[in-house]
Amino acid sequence: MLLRKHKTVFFLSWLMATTMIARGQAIFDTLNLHEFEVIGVLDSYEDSYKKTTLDTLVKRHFEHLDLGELLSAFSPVFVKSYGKGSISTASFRGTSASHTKVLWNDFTINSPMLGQVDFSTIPESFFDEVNLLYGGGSLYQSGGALGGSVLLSNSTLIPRKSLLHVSQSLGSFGSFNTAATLHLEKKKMIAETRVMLQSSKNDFPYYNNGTLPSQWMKQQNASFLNGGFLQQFSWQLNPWQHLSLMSWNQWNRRNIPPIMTNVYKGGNPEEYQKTFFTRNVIGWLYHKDKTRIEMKSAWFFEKQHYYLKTTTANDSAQTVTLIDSKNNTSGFYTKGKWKQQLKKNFTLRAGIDIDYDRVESSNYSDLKTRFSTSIYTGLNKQFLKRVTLDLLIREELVDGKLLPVMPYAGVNYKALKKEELYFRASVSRNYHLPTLNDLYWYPGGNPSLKPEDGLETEAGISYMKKLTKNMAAAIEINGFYNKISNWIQWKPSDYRFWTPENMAEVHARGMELSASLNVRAGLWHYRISGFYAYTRTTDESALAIEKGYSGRQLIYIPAHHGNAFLYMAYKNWNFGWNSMITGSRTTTMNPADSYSNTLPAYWLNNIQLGKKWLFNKIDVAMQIKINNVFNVQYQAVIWRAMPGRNIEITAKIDIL
Amino acid sequence: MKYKNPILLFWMLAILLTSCTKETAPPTAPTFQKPGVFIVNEGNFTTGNASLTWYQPEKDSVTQDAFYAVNKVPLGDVANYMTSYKDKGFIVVNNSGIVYVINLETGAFLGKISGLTSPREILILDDNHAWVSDLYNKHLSVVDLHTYEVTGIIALQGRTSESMVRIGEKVFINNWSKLNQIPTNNMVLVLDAATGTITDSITVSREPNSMVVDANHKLWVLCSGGYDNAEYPALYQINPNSDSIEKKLTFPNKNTNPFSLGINGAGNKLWFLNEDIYKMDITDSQLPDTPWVTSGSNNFYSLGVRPDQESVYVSDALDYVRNGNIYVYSASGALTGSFEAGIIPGNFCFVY
Repeated sequence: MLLRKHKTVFFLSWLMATTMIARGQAIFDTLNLHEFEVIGVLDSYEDSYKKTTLDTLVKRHFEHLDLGELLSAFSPVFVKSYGKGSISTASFRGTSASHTKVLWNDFTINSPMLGQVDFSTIPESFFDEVNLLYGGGSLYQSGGALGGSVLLSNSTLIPRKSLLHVSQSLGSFGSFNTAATLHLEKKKMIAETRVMLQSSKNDFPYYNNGTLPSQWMKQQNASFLNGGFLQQFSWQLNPWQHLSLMSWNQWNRRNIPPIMTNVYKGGNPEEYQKTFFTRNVIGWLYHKDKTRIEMKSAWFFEKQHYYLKTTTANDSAQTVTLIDSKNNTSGFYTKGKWKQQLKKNFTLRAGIDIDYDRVESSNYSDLKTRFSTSIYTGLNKQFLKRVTLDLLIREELVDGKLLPVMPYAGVNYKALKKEELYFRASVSRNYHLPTLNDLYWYPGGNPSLKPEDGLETEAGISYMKKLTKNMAAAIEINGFYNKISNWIQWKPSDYRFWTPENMAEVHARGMELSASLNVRAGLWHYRISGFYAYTRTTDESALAIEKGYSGRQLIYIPAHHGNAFLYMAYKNWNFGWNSMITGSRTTTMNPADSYSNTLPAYWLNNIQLGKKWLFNKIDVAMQIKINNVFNVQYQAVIWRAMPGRNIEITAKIDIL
Repeated sequence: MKYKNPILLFWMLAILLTSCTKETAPPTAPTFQKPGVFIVNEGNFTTGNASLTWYQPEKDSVTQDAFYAVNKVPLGDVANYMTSYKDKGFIVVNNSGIVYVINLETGAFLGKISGLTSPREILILDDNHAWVSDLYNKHLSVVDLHTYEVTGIIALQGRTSESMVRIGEKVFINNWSKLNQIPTNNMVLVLDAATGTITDSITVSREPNSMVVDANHKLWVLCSGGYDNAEYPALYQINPNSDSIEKKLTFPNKNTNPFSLGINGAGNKLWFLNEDIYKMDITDSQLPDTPWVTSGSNNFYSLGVRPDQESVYVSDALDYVRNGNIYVYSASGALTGSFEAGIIPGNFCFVY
């Protein structure tokens, strides 16, 4: 169904805004629910595992954020950022960054080399939907996501919002950000083109208390320039068959700033990283009656270039150090998914994933590859309309070796007949393969590493309530306990290069709390939501106990972190206030907190004010945003400078 | 306005959360009364967690994060070396490219030498001049000690530099690292202290890593044989007048990696690390077969000998990511004390 009138769109997006938790949609009118479902990607919502959908209101208002910024503001995922435009990684539930898998239209985009994703290189404007799968639930999409998965999707059936959407922002420190989407439709064919260009001098002032004499300085060598486009075609072959083609291409160049203690280093250091990637997916979907079959293939290619040069202090032509490291990775992936509703309350599913990765790196002795095949099958059965049972079993064959079986079992119980109160629990086993760097990095790589072995249990309660006709609330609480054995750690070897070993047995446990309230009062709309996560992650291996460091929180995992979001709209005005709290983090595994190695907690606030003008065929919106309102000087990673208060002005035009 | 209350509740919760986090109180500023030892903790590369530990053996008192406690900034990224000259301390912070100059008694910042590429050690020649060696640069930096400015360079024939030892008017410089040079790293260069000209060179085994001077003004050079065990490790005794090798003691096992040569104040006994701690007399004609102290499960990383007493300080770097320990041994090899230092304790600067 195509929605042409902006008022309908506005109402629809408000409606979506009120459903922070995907399951929350159940409380709205069935008529509107139907329209919502057109946009939804996940096909079931009374699940036994935890899943979060980042809502469209957030996506619409924070178009220029990267995925890392988006997750840190609107999810319980912990994001560790080295600064705007620098590396940012995300971790779920006290696990490591490589335990977070990011899937774009079902294909993992984690680097096969490092195993992680740089969230700063994922522009928010390139996706229609962001879903988070926590813990064992990630097995529905892939193996190896011991923490959880971030699912990015481009809906192939998305209704046209506008013909052309252009958004331009100007910000402090010479920041420019352009995003545009062109949506064309003809009969059964849709072509959508998205482009993005972002650049910043990023020379923000900060107080450098990392070297003497302490003083205000400007960040050096931190500029970046990223650009890319995403092209999508989809054809509706007939009412039950659908073809799609997507191509995401991006070029990133970033300079790498020195840490705060090293700003006086000589040798005119020139350090940067350049990346190009192309990710292409072709897919076929068959969905008729009770059968859904999907076949997809992808080709990914990424070229990475890291460069560091220093020269002698007195002669800039004389090179002192030169690191010129180049990595090319390519991947060929195919997957098939089948889902069949056998009876009204009984669904079967099965699938196969075939992945081939190939890495050429100046850091490996020769070409390295990995070939893996993963098959899974699962069932979903509902009993007495109130109890849902999910079973899934996944088996993976990697380079001719069979991994142990990865099973998932979960149950969801609707406790009250007339109330949206759900209890759920699950247990699963999951294996995370060593990355190719772990295995083959020269020198130090350890080809005899075993996969990390995760045993995951969790339980949760969620409750949705429509308080009045115009007010709805949702609250969700989860507890989890994950035990990961054979956890891989890099440690220095006798000859000073580092080497990875299956060392630790990590216990990650904690709880997550989320809540939201949506109110509509006359011309006013209110929305308030928040997340809080408590995480305790420690190494309980025999070695840690012997050496006396068991029970200590692993580095860079805050025990507490949370965020809150307040949104208010009146007629065409809107106001947003976003608040994030990150608790203190240790940066070493020392027993007594050493003052200089403990990062204190910080509280960041961003506010924004926007107005929209609706004309006949054109919508125009202006937005002013103040980031870090209280000008907090903080560090997310030790001695990495972060910007203080800064301003961003955005203009958006939608030609309908 | 019924819905106002839950909103307020949320913000109160948010504020409550911030107040939950505890701050670690900064340590109070210590003073550094002689005798004592500064332990330079390297910290981890690109992490900026180098630190200084101050230890007073007579009181058995330890001050962690001594530099931070006084100056409210971290020591920097990979601190490598510290030396004292009159009432000043000079701390070389390798990957920060700086040498901090501090008041030895108060620890207070006096100045810094900056703009260095990869400084390793500093040699104070007199009240006016110092030289700084470099892991990557193939020259020394000449520093004016009044302005702390680099005023010139001394080219080292395409070699990088590590330690600098002065005997009379000569300065001996070992070429330890192979990382950034074409010539084989098996040379000790001899420079004239007054002019900075290279007057001679002495070929030794690969990777000469540490040097000391004995009571007879002989230079001792310990070579590991190369990180890839290309050659047998060896200990050399060199006559600094003729720049000739008087003694070469070769280690029997090519796969060992002896390092961190130390000498007592009297200048007649040598210690070094080779997994365990070894001790020998300067008159010995062969290397010791058995360790003086065995390492057990310790990861011995650096050795220093207190000059005014014969006590040997050895660091255990553990797993290189947690604070290391220091073990103190008496002249007889008995363990007389131990204490915790910082991450990767790599160098000792005795003040007495």
